[in-house]
Amino acid sequence: MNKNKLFTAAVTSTLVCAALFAGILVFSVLNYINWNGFHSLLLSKEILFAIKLSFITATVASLLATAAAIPTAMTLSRMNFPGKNIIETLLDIPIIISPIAMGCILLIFFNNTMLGKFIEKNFITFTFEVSGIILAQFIIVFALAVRILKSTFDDIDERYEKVMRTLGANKIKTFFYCTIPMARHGIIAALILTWARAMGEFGATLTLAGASAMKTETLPLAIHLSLAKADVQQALTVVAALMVFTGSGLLLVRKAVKKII
Amino acid sequence: MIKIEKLFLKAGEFNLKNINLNIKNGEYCVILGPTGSGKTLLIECIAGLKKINSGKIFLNEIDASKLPPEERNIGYLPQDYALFPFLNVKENISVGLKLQKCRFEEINTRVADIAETLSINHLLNRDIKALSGGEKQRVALARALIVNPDILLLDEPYSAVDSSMRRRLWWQMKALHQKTQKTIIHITHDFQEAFALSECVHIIIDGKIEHSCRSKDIFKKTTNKKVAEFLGICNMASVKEYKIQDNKILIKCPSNVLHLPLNCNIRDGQTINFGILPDDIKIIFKNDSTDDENILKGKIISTIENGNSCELFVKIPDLDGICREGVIEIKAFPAQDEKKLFKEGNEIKVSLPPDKIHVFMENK
Repeated sequence: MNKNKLFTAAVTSTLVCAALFAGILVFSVLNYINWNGFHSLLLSKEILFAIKLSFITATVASLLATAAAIPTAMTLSRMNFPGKNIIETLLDIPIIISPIAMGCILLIFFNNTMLGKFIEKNFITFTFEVSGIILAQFIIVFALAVRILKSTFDDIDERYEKVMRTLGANKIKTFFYCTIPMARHGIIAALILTWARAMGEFGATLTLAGASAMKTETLPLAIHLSLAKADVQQALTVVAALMVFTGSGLLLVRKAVKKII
Repeated sequence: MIKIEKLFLKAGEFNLKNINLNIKNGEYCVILGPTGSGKTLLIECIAGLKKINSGKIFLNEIDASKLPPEERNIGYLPQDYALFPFLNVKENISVGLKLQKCRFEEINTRVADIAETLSINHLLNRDIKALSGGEKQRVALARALIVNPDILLLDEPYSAVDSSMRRRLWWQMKALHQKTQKTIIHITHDFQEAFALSECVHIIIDGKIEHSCRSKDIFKKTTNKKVAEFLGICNMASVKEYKIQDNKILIKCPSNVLHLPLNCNIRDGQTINFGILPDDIKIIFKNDSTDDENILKGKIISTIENGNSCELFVKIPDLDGICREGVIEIKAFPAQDEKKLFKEGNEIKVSLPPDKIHVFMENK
């Protein structure tokens, strides 16, 4: 075997190993499930509630996070200013620390600080509420969206924007008619990844919104609650639902995006 | 008319320094300079894409120094064309008209007109990815021209096309300029391109305009060493000991006296530089008349054949210590029977015609 073939085999085998490992993990879960009671468990009120809540909160959080990340990433990519590195590091904190620690920080902010208490009292309550789930997911996935979009904007040659300016577009029109269409792949990638990450968010949600059955019970929290009461079959049913629901969601979005682009 | 007064711009470690330019309406002007000399920065300043630190830019006698790019009515064709990949050819060309909120019928008419002028009608429904380099260039030009700009800025417009296509596009551009009479500022590092297309040339080196002239005078009125080096006047020499007599500079060599034209102000004792293009050195064959001046003897040390031309590196003992260890480069176009004379080790006689020698001052 020559060196080129060896290299291709080595590279491909990594993909095969990763896919095999993921397949084995999925199979082991599916193998352990008691399929006789699966259908009734999946359609139980509690799990349907968790699926619906997860879908709504993850969609809202990923849409808000991507929308907020676009101008943030654009500023970080296009402008140089003092303290830029410090700001970038601050924005990366949710990625660096564990989600549970991020949840703690949020809980302390809303319960122990003047500003947090003021927001909770006068605007919106986040602790142990559905809005808390969205905020926790938003905080975690916003950093991810900023990272993806900053690298997208970094890759866009500024000459396109310059040409648009000379054709008569002001900065706002240039942003909407040139920068956003140029960044469309990155924006869609950010939406997909943030949605998937928000669907699986657990630590920050648990700490800020709590794990109240039928109130703040997302799919990962439903797994946690099932395991807490030693109901392994229900936990595995939710795991399967989470895998199928998130996986098929991603697959559908990928197919739709391929058709659009 | 474009008038630039005392323009300064600091861009990181690089500066544009005291740029002064006057370009008449309808003129085709080339800004010529090596890579990294500040050409693109300069036209970006004219287009309003870079904020200048000081100085003034007047466009049609209006101070445009602080106007945003969208209010300068300038067409810009960047290097690599920057055609929008998410739009097809027709959509690319019509972007400017859509921004002006032109009616659908007007957009169609004007796109058809410009496509006809640039012979790109057949490309209108194509995807950008399916275009060749020359086609992309014409589409980008159509996109810039369709909004009827007062000034057209071309940033190395032929860098992405092959040399035969480049020459065809030169003549198309020349014809287009004659037809539209637009003021064009074209930047390039290729002085053949500058010579072929422009009426006036400004040479920029290290962020400073070093030389401005009509394009036909580009090799004649060069009195600056940096410019001469950029133009390829590679046979450069410098001397401290010389005599000025009868409006000529005389340089004493071991077996000859070189006569140089006195075409710039020289203060006593000032070091002078002089140079000659490799093609301007004359090779003297046995049967040639001997009324040539500055005849020097030498030995061929290396030969590079290049199709119908030949580059010779000749060691001239008289120029030892004056010009790069006494070695000069000559470009010759020998007849078939003369080629055998150009062998390494052969003795050769050359003449440096005084009217072809460029004398320069030391750059400050």
